[in-house]
This record gives sequence, C-alpha cells and structure tokens, in this order.
Amino acid sequence: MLLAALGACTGQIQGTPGEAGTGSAGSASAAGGGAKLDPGLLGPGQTAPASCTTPAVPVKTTRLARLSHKQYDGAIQALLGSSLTPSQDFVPDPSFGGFDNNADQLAVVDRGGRDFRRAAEQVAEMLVADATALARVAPCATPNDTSFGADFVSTFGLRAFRRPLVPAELTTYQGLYEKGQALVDSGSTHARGVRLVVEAMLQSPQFLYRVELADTPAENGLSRLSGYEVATRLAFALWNQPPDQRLLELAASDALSTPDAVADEAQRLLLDERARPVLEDFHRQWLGTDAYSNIARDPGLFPKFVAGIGAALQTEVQKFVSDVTFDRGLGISALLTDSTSFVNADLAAFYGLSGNFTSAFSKVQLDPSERAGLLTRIGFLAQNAHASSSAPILRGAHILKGILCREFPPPPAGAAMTPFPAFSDTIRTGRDQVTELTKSATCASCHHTFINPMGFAFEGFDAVGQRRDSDRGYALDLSGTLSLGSGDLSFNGAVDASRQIALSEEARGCYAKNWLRYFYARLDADSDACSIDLIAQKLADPSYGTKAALADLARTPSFLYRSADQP
Amino acid sequence: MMKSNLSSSRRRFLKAAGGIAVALPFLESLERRTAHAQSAPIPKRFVAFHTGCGVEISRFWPTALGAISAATLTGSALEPLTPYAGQLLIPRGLQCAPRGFNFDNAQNGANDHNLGTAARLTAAALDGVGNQHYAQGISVDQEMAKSINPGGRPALTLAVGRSMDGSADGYISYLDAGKPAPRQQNPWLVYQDFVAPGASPQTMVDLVLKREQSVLDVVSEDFTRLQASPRLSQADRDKLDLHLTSIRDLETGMVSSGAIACSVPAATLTELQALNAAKVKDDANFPTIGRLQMDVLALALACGHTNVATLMWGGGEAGPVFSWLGQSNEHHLISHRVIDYGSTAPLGGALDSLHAIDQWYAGQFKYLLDKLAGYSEGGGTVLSHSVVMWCNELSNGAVHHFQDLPFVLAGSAGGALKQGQYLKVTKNPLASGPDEVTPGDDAPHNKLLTTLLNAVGATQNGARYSNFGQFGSAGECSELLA
Repeated sequence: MLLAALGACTGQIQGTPGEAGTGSAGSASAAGGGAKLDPGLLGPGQTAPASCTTPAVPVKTTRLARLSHKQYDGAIQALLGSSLTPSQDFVPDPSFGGFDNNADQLAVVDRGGRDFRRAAEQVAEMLVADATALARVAPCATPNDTSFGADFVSTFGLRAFRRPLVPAELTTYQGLYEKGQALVDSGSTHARGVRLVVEAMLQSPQFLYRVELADTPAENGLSRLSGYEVATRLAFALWNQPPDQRLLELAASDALSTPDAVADEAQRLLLDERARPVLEDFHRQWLGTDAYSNIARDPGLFPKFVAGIGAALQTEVQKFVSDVTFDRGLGISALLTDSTSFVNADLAAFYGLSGNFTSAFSKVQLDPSERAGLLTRIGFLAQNAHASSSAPILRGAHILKGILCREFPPPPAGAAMTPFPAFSDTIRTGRDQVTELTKSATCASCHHTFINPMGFAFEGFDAVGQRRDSDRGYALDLSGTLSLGSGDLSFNGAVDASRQIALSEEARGCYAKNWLRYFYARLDADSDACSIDLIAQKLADPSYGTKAALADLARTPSFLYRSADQP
Repeated sequence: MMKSNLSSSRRRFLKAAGGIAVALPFLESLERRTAHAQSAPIPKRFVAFHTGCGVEISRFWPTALGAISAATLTGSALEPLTPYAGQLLIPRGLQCAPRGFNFDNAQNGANDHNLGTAARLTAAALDGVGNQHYAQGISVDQEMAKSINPGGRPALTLAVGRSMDGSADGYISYLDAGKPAPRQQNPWLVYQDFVAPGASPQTMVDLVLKREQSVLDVVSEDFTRLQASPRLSQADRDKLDLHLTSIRDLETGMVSSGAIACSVPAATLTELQALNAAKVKDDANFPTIGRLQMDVLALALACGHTNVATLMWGGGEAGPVFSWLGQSNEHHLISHRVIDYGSTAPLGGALDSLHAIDQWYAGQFKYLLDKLAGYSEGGGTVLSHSVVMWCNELSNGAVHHFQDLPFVLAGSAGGALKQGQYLKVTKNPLASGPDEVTPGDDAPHNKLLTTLLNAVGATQNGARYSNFGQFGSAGECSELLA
C-alpha cells in the first residue's frame, strides 16, 4: 500500500493532455470550423490567454456515456423518490485519470448486465408495493384497467430517457404495459403494467447511457447538441441526477442554446443542495481520501492514532471542502490556506485543541501559524508517511503530481526497499537521510531539484501528522526552493509552502484541469487548453471559487458542441 | 474486443429489427441443470487458496518427510491443520518461472510479487512494464473450467481485501493471455448470483422467466434502434456489443442444480445482507469477509454452480495489517523483517509475527476444508471429491525467492492423489539452514499444474494434459499420484 504512491505510475503516464476521447485533439482546420472565444468567459479586465486565439474545436467524444454509479443512484432517486442506492451492489468502476466517471471507460461487461437487471427488478417491485410512491410516479384514476398506460409511458419515459419518446418507443412500451396482467401475479392491472415498464426502461440503453445523437449544424462550423442533451449533461455533471422539471422545460423550448442561458442554469443548480455531494465527491477522488481508512500505526508509538480514526479524517476533509467550496463559494486558494476545520473528540486531541468535544463534528479554527489548508491536515500527512517516520518523498511527490500536475517518471524498481543510510555525525535527521539516499546523479535530477525540497517543508509533522519542533533532538530545517514553470517557490515551513503553492499558476491550472476531467467525464485534451488557462487565471481572484469555475466549464464549446467531422 | 466467456454454442445473436424474439439463455440453462441433477456423476472440484509475501520458511513445513501426523505438524505453521493430517499432500521443492528460467527481473523494472502471482496458476510467459506484468496464457483454474464446469462457464474468482491500484499483482486467475479475471470482493453479490431469494415453486419460476423474456425483448428493441444510427463510431458500436454480450451471458439466478439446497444458514444470510459494500476491502473487515467468501465458495461448489474456484487473500504485495493478531505493521514489511520502508532497522520479532500470520492463514484454510467436508455427496464429501491448493507467490519473502515454494494440497480429487504425505518432488536434498531454500531445478511447478488438471478430469479435445503452461517441463509429479 505505501508503495502505491511511488510505484503506481509504472511507465504509463495516464492522462497526458492530448490523449483523450476517441480521437486526437482538434485544432482549427478548414474542415472542422471552430468556436471563437466567448466573451462571457472572460473575467472583468481579463486578457484572453494565448491558447484562446485559435477557434476551439471540441475533441471527439463517445456518444454513449454510461451513467456512473452515483448517477445511477441519483436517477433512481429522482425518478422514483426512493432513497435506494442500488449501485452499492455493482462492481466498482475503475479510476481513469484520477476519476471513476470517465465516459470512454465506463462500460457494461461481465456481470454488469446481471447487476443492472437485478437492480431494475428490485426497484420496480418496490415501487409498486409502495402505494404513495406509485400514486406519485404513475397517477391513475382507474387502476383496474389499462387506460392510463399511454400517459404513464410517455410521462415516465420522458423523465427516464431524458427526452420525449419517439412513436415506435411509445408503441413498444405500451405493448409491454398491456402484458402486465399476464406476466405479473399481484397488484392492480395498472400496477402490474407499471412494474414491467419500469423494469424495462431501467435496463434500456436509453436510460443507462447519456445518448447524444443530435448533430445540428451551427454557425461556427461545429455541431450543436440538442437542448435535452445539454440539460442532461448539466444535471448529471452538477447533481449526479437527471434534469429536473425546469431543465426539461427549457430543453423543450430550445432555451438552452446560448452559453449565457446554460451558465444561468448552472448557477441555479450550484445553489441547490444537490450540488454539495458532487463537490465533495470530486475532492474525495482528487485528494485520494479513501485510503485514509487503512492507515495503521503502532498504538505503542502513537496512542492518539486510535482505530477507526481514518474515517474521522475522511469526514474532516469532506466537511472542510464542503464548507469552503459549497457554503462559502471559495476555491483552490482557500482549500490550501484556510485554517477552518471540523473535528470530533479524537481529532481535537490530535490537533491539540482544548474544549468540549464529542463524537459529533464541530467547526473550529486551527492555529493558522501551524495549520493552514489541506496539506497540513492529519489525513494528508499520515497517509503520506511511513509506519514510524515522516516521508518527505511521499509528501513531495503527492503535492507535485496531485496538486501541481507535474509529471515525472516513477522510481526505479526496488527503490522503495533501498535502506536509508545509517545515522551518523553528518546524517542526523530524516532530511539528511533522504538527501543522502537520493544523491546519485539519476536520483538527484528529480529528488534534489523538486521532490525533496517540497517534502522537506512538511518535516514539522511526524508520521501521524502531529507537530514537532525537532527530529531526533536536532533542529528542523524546513526551508527550500524549487522551480515551477511560472517562477520559483522559496519557502520556509508548511504554512508558507501552502500559501505559495496556492498562489502559483500551476496549482490553479491543475485544479482547473482536474475539474475539467471530472465535469466532462473524460481526459483533458489539447483543445481544452484555452478553457483551463482562462479558469486558472480567474482562480487567482479569491472570490472566484469552485462554483464559478464550474459555471464557466458549462459554457465552453466543449460542453455545447461536437466537432462536425465526428462520426 | 472482449471475447465471450461462453462457448459459441450458447450464444444467440439478435436478428435485425422485426420483433424476432431473443432466445432465452436462462431457459436453456434451466433444462441443462435439471438433467444434471438427475443423472450426472459427481464432478471433481479444484480450489486455489492464495496468500502473499512468502512464508516463514523455517517453521512452515512439517518437521519430517513422509507420513504427516500430529507430531510432525507440531510447531509448524500447519499445526492448525492437524485434524486433516490424513488428507494433506505436501509437495516440497517446486520452483517457478520466471526466476530460474532466464527471465531478467531487472528488465522493465519488474516487481517480484507481480511476477509470482501472474505465473503461479499460469506458468506462462509474462509481458508488461514495472508492476504491470500480465501472464500471456490462461490459468489452470480457467483451463479446468472449460471442460469440467457447467456449460464451460468461467471459474469463480474471489478475493479478500485490497490490492494495489494500478498493479497487476492482484491477479492469479487469467481467462486468456493478458486477461486477468476480475476480483469479486463482495460475498453478498456473489451469493446472489446463484441463489434465488427464498424458495420458488416451479410455476413461479416459469412466470418470472416469461416476464424476463418480455422485458428483454423490449430492451433488445431499444438496442436495435440505437445500433441502427449511422452516427455511432466503431468504439461506440463495440461498447453496445459488449453490453449485449453481458446481458445475454445472464446466468442462473433462479434455480439450483445439485441435490443440496442452495442457501446459507439464516445467520449467515443476515450477515451477508448487512455488509457495507463500500467497506468490504477495509483491513478491519478482512477476517469477516474472508470467512463469508469461503462460505459462499463452498456453497457454490456444493451446489453445482461451479466446480472450480480461486480465493486470493490480499493482492500479492498488498496485504492487511493483522491487527486482530495484535500486529500494527504491514504484512509486506514484516516479510522483509524491517521496521519501515527504506529502513535497515530490524523489526523486532518479525519472524514470530510472520509465523503467526502463516498460522492464521492455516486456520482459514482449515475453515475452508471444514466447510467442504460438511457437504455429503455420493458416499463422500465435497472435500473428498476435491483438491484444494494453498499457494503463495514467493517462498522466502525477505529475499523474494521463487525456489522451494509453499504448496499444501488437501483432498484426493476422488482418489486421484495420495493423501497424508509430505514428500520431495525434487532429487535435490532438503535445505538445512534456517533461511535456506531447497533448490528445485528439476521440479518446475508447471508439472504440479499438469498433475492437477488430470486429477480433476479436465481434458482438452478429450485428451489428458501432458505439459501445461509455457515454462517448465512436460509430465506430471508422479510422486503425488495415488
């Protein structure tokens, strides 16, 4: 497990910009047309970055984007008012490029068909057994006959398939509804028909995939998505749910055809509580907090690191990102520098807080001279540490790859098992050991220039993220410099390093890029450079937070158009 | 494009739109299963039980070659298996490709755990980079499944606990070259695959099948309409094909086939239903999930759902912290006897901790044997008709040795194999030093795999196996045959 951070990249650098979707990135070519920069994307007084001068051609993407597991559950909840989460019985989806919702990778294979069938049957059966739910989802004045079937098929079908059904579909599903009496052994005639229709629709590709077949030619030489397709993209991206009534009405009247209209709707969705779990889910995956459950430490050495504290550390991060990005509308800068936290009694003991704490979580302010944002929290520090010592290499590598999106090759085979040099007169601290260990020319080119300096800034925290002022009795040296493309960082200590990372163009660009991957459910491509650069620039303004960035992502050509030469 | 796991005779292809019904895979399998229950001979079974990071080799084996007894098991990792002394068969001295077969470990930065797990059931050449080396051949369990499983369906592949993200060392079972079988981690889902919820009278079953057919007909029409769009790319068409294959490979769900009632005890069912799916891989749940996986695996064998299964504990290098044994270090670190990565500071009591882990696994192996022995059939038990194999990707985990590999077999596979014996399958003398391994240049482990294939009655084109895998030698370990 500890090797995962070191060894997980094994020569395959995932998510290199340019490798994306089903084809190569587009650039302005005579055949493809392209969208000129939408002035609505520029902030006040902002000059467009160089990457925005060429007209944008969206990268080719799949026309069949399977719902992620969370979206499947969200659709069940929205359609049926149920609190079921059937996806927990599905095989987990693999991560690609850091996220489990990559539309090119999501497929129905192996036991997937079986899982969807079983879920559809269970959901349909439970729906008709619940008279209140049935009356709401499939209202019917004459349950003993089939006269309300057509109405149900078209109304429910519109919501399940996220568009009006075509005549052939209406006929087919009506035919299935009428078989209810013969094929289901209990319930009213109407309920039997409803059960069959729901069972089938929830297994249909029109439900399980976001189907995007529209190709209306647009003035800019690209192809426009239909209003229903845009509504569906927006709702699943921001809520992990299908479009609500208002979005469906806007789609029906073709009112989602301009970037301004789409951005307005995005803002409405972002104000709704349904957006909160999506913001939390992104950060959970981006920061890798699932791994906190399995951090184990010797209780003899670290008595405060009690069993089950991993779950509390996950909750701390979840509530923090939710508070910062959803409640306060802030962004990456605050995530890396804000000292707010949410702690229960176990965590309060860890952070050295006095007061009455219980097993419930309460909002606190940590000491800003010691703890700033995410990189100074116990979860991040303990996850990137060894059983009994800190791990500057793991911490440095995580920040450089995850927060700054810097790519570098994996360590050579066996590197993680190479013993550290023994302590001596000249090798006195962990910092000394790591420096000595990585001093050969092959290692130093990455380690001495950026990996180690980044990690050393966090040596003020031990193997479980507790503050310390010395290492083996020796004074700490928390200073370092490293070069980023945009300039040098020169820092002393974790809080200072966090602040400078937050200010860097690289951190803003990395945050924007990761959000683009999650929001568009694909890897970033060359043609996304303009969107990423624009948003990265705007993130320098602390009042332009994550929500604002997402509203911008919803108005780019990639979200509203397809390339015209896409099959 | 992924190949279907079923033989082509069981696949049906959707005809062009016109309302032609899709043939029912489930009705067909229902008939086959009823016939099977009435007249078929009792099948032989194979189970592979895999643990990682090597073992404490100075205390793993019985203390003397020859007949296994309580005396020779005392003090060894295998002591918990004393009640089964008369049913164990322990071959000593087997070695494995790739180490020892001119595979350059330094090439492509290969990870030994990955090389070990990928080769353990395949004896195949490996290809890849770093810790993503994949076996280039089918594994013995999947090969067996082709001829001894109902309808040739793939072997069941269960796993307990986490494996490393992006690493290939979490896989021992391969459906084909480069195609590891997925790790099924949730025993509740596995159970639901072959057990109907509650008893179902035949009329009920027929109605459900008719209903499912009607629903599937309508769903198939939606697929046909979608496939007719000229706008789909080839990749999207492939996606729909895979989905359709997944739907048509629908298996069971309705009726068990064997003479044994297909259900677990009520208390176990309650436990399965209460599992938190998001936490099945957590370290803290490792023992519970392991036990439930074994319950479900044994039931699947007894019920005739499958005759071949594998159970992988951890994922090669990845393993839990054995907190329930009072430990707080990772298994991998303990196997290297160091306190931390990069440290030379020795971990106090590492060998004892490792031995404790080995004994704990022996206890789990015993639990599995108990379950299999608890199902009576045809004058014997599922265990007496099976061969259950405990294996590891390494022998001496501290130095990543591929010589002198731990293999512990239980069950005679219906009389095919010797019982109650611990014997050398190499002409070389047993190693004598505490950290020494017995060289086995004349005992490649693929011979054991060949032996097992023949022991369970697997055949290819009707013939027995003479040389399984891509590394090693032809022939069986004849010392093991009854």
